[in-house]
Amino acid sequence: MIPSDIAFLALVIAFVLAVYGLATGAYGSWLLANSENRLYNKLRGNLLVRSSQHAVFANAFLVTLASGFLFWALFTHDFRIAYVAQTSSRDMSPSYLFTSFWGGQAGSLLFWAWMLTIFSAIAVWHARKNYPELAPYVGSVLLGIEVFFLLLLSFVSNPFERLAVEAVDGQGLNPLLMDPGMRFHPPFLLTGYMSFSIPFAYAIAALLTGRLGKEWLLAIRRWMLIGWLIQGIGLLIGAWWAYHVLGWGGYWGWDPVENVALMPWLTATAFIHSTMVQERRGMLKVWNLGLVVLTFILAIFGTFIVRSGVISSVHAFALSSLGPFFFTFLGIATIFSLGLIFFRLPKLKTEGRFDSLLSKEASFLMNNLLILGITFATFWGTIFPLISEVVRGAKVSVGPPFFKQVNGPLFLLLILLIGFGTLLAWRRSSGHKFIRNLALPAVSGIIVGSLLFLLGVRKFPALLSFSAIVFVFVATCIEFYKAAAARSRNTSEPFAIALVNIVRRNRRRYGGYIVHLAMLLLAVGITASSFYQYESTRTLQKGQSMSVDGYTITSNGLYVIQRPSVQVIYADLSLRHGQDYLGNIRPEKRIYKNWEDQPVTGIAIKTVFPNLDDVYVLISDIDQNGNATIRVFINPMVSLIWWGGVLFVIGTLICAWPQARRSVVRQRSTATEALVNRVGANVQA
Amino acid sequence: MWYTAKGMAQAVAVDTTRRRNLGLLVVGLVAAAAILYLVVSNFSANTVYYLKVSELQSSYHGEQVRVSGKVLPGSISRQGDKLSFTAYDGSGRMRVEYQGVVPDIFKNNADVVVEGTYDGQVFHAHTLLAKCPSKFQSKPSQGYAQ
Repeated sequence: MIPSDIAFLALVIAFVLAVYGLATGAYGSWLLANSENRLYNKLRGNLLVRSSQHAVFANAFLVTLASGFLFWALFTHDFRIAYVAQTSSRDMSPSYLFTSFWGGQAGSLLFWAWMLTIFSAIAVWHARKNYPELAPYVGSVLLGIEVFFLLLLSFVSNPFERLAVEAVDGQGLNPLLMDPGMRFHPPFLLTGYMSFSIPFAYAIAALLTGRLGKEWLLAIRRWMLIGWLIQGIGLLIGAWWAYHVLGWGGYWGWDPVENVALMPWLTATAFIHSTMVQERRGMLKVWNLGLVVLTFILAIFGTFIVRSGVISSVHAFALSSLGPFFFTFLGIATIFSLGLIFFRLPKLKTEGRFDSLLSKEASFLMNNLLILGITFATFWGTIFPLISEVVRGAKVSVGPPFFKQVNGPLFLLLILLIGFGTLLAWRRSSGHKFIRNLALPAVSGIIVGSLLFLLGVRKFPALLSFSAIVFVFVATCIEFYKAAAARSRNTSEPFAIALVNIVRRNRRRYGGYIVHLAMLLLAVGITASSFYQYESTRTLQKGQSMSVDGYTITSNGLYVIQRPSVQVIYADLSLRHGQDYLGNIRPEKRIYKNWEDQPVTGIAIKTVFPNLDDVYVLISDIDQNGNATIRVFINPMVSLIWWGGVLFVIGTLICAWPQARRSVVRQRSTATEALVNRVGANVQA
Repeated sequence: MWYTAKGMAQAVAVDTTRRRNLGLLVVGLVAAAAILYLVVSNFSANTVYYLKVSELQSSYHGEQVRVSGKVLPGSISRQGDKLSFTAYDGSGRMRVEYQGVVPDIFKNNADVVVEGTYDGQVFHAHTLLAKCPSKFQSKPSQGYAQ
């Protein structure tokens, strides 16, 4: 018996406990629901539910223990374990050793399950305190998902499988993956995929109990926001990594694996918006439950695509035996949830009606339609190779231009809609008022669009996009300004403090607006870099130069640094814009001896202020005479995407941060005070 | 009087609500149709056959195709920035010529995907992607940068 056997045992016990907890939780909940006020049934039900919840907590401990063992095995180079030998090696530095945890199939599944058990424990603990009637069901659903993943880990893809003969050294991680992005991108995405399980568990709990009122909406919304944030960060880090490491000058390639990660994030975005309509007006109940279920299904589908290799991707995945398992699980989850929704249809009747096309509700509905359109197009393009193989017998692949041509216009409309949605009121806006509110933002958009045209921006979609962005920006800023100015008048706080206070007092609303502003930053970066990227490739001898889009790059020669396991060849280049000297840049090729002399390209990126061009330089080849072929991209405004990402995180945190109940009371009382003060002032006058 | 006036107002309101719901439905349907149109109209122009080397037959000559295979060890030759190699897959063999940026992980026995046209003798690739087998993730070293 070696330590890893204990870890494997922990996983098997966790699996058994998950099955036990699912059974006791389900039976206990049933007893509670059908106790007919018989004390005996109630007591038994309570005991069973308690026991099932203890299984949830125990599993968090057991899987954490197993994960701890895997970390330990990686750090102590325990090459008796197949997984450790496959994904790590002795020469890896500790700072990358831990990334081997999710460097392979079994480990990434373990990570998924680990996060699931921890999140489940937190969710059950939280539900027990705040939603005691839902908690037994939430726990049971989460345990059901745990059963599936622990089954895979225990019997199909065991991360602690032993080698017949201990390996002397491991294969290690491909040097291409030895990048800071590797430390954060996979764990965030895996956690993101996982985190959509919790809103799903709440939705199923609400359906099972028939408690389909507003109480669970807040819980689902907060958990959905958390998942949305984690998945969003995962996507952004993925884009950042692609941009800084891969050297094709872009950050998003519409690769199947990127697409499947984007889809649940999109449907979660739709839910976050449409749930407000249900909260306010009691409408769209079925739709919202459908979105929660769809998000979960897409998240499992994403995990499945990443793990199964059914769709050829440039991300390489060994075709694995997991496919049928995932397929079965997806089938069960889909049929079960849709069946439940259908069964509960009578309880899901809408309470309100749409009053007007000129209302926030209508704009949210359009937002949902567009987002689902984007999701559908992405899904269709991603799985089409599979469909065509089944239907026509030939694999047909769909290229990135398809996604750009379809999703580009839809994203543009979505941005425009942010502006309209912000300006519209609930229920109905009066036409006059709406047009008055619309005037300043719309005129600003048109003016900026015209200015850009005069300055030489002649690509129509780009002009449209920039005008839309300005329109939404102005509309959002006015919203902040109006609220802060009104508060400043009423409370005689200075404007800046009033601004901070309105955000503090209504975090959901203004946090949402901050996320909108973040999306605008992303949109500026994406539009500029999609339409105005310049590229040039040239072989440079020492002293020769090349120019791209007003930038001149002159070679000062190639240099070599020898390190124990890697040889670094770098080109020393000086960068000028017109006559201005902007500094030296040094793209490199690192040649790894332990990897059959595999070269890894080190890209040099310099962001030039104030026009925010990224000068993106790499060595694409070195010829026999020792001259480097230099490839240069000028990527305008890509840095705004990363800043937008930071703002997205801030805005979402503001939204999701629990609003203390007391502050709501205080808000009311200050509003009353303000009213009293004003009335008092009037009376005195 | 007052009751009837209110009743009338309500009746009118219900009627307009119904009309507005209809309006919403129409707007929604138009949007859905537009999305579907976007998908359909952009679809066929952006699809290519995705084949294995052994599946590449004469019927695909001259057509844009995507082919996946492995690099035959020892078949790589470079002349300046021109690269040529043989891709194989089971029994299939195909000579590939390519000019452009070569992915870092391109080497003997690497899994590659090439896109271009086949003239019966040589595959003229305009895109070369390499996969790194058995590892969790590898990314395109040369992708779609347009």
